[in-house]
Amino acid sequence: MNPQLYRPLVDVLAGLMLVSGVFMLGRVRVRSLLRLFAAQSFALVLIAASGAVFEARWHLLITAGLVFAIKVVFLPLFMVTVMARGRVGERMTSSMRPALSMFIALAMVILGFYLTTSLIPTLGDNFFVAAVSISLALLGLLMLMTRKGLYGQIVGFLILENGIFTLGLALTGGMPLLVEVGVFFDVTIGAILMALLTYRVHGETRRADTENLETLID
Amino acid sequence: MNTLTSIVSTVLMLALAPLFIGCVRKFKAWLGNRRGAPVITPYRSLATLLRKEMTVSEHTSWVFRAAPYVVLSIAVLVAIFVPTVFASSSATGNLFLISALLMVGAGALVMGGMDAASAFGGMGSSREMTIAMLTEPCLIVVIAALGSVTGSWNAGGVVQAMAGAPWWFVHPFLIFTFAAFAMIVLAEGARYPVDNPTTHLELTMVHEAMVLEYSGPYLAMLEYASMLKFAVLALWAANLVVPYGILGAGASLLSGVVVFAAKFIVVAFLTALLESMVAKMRFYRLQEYFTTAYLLAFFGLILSLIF
Repeated sequence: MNPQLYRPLVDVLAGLMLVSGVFMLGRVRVRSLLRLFAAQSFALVLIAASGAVFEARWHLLITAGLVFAIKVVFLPLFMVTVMARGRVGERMTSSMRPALSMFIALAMVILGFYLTTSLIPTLGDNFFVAAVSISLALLGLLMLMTRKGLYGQIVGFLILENGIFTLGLALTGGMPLLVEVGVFFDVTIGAILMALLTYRVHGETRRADTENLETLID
Repeated sequence: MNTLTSIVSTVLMLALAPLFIGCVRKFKAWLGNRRGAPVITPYRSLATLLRKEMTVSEHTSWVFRAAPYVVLSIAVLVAIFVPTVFASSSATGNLFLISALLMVGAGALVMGGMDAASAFGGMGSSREMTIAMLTEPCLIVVIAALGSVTGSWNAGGVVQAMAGAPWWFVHPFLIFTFAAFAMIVLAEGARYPVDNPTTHLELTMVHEAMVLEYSGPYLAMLEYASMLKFAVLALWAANLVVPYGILGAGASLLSGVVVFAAKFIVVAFLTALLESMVAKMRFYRLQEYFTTAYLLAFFGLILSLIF
């Protein structure tokens, strides 16, 4: 394959991940949020797969397959199933209006780009992907902080993870396979636990918010 | 040479606009598991309208009769100025001129819609004016980003500069600008999720409400202008995102035509795909849509200015 295509392809995919991340901050319905998340993770799959194909690092194909199985297929389906079982409402609650959170999200993106220029000056070609991944980590953090419902927080956590994963992929060409499998295991179990916790919380308090949990002392 | 190519490409665009809409409808039908009408149906319906008798309310003034001419000529001007088949900085228009022309066209249509003093016309006009007012700043900011990145304030020059770069992702920051531009094109073209081009339901129609009082050749002119505007803007967007192979930027005639045909089909398909996936927004939620578009455009501009 033409190696000149690799860089622009990865840049386009990273750009799509960034845009979907910004759009996710403005979503208030769980299903559309999860659909966007699956799309973002699919872009990540393509980034990993193109790294494998263009740079002949074949172990990245396994990584890509894992991301596809876990983040594109399993986690969104699992969360939708748990949501349907627990009869949790579609609408998520946030401490900010969608427009305001998108505004802050885009400001975060600017901050992420700025941080990347000043923190890591020797990136060269990798600048855009690195900046996108740092911005995605910031976006995930923002979502974790502003959403009240657990589903929003889970997805925020997963966006954060997507960002860190992209950074690893861009800067080091993929971490050792064992480390990646370990991280995936952690993330999957974490997301499953949080989804089940939502189910229980909703069963107890009839709301999928974490606000009520703050009064739980001892 | 430039003038000749410009004339030929404009005529091509004028001829192909109904086909574009026909393709969108066809793809949309396919995506919905229907067979769909032939792609040349828009030509036939325009021809039918042209043959029909025209009924004009006696309570209308000259504004009602002038509006179709103004709207159609504005659409044709936009088709001349926007690089669709051919990009050259000498034969296409200034970016701000294009955005101003779009606004004048919207204004004329609004006047025509209100002149007959029917309830629907006034309602549609009020909605259209709201949409146009919200679209305009987004478009200006998008234009500012495009202009500041490429250093050209000419629609053709922008596309040429982008096609000349090794890959447009030398400006990867423009991704927000492109996203905003796509949203604006859908709004200007009166498509989903801003307006439903097929409905005559009073709660949802915008463009259709304004042209409700028109009939016969006047209606044909307005319909054609709307088709032309959407086709031209959609292909402009395609040329911005993938500027390669456009005539006037180093491509040979054959490859230019092939690439144009490919873009034509792909953009029609993407429009149909989008329209099959999203629902039309409630009118009072449109400000969210335009807030999103404006924020994306604005931060796209900031990114393109900083980096």
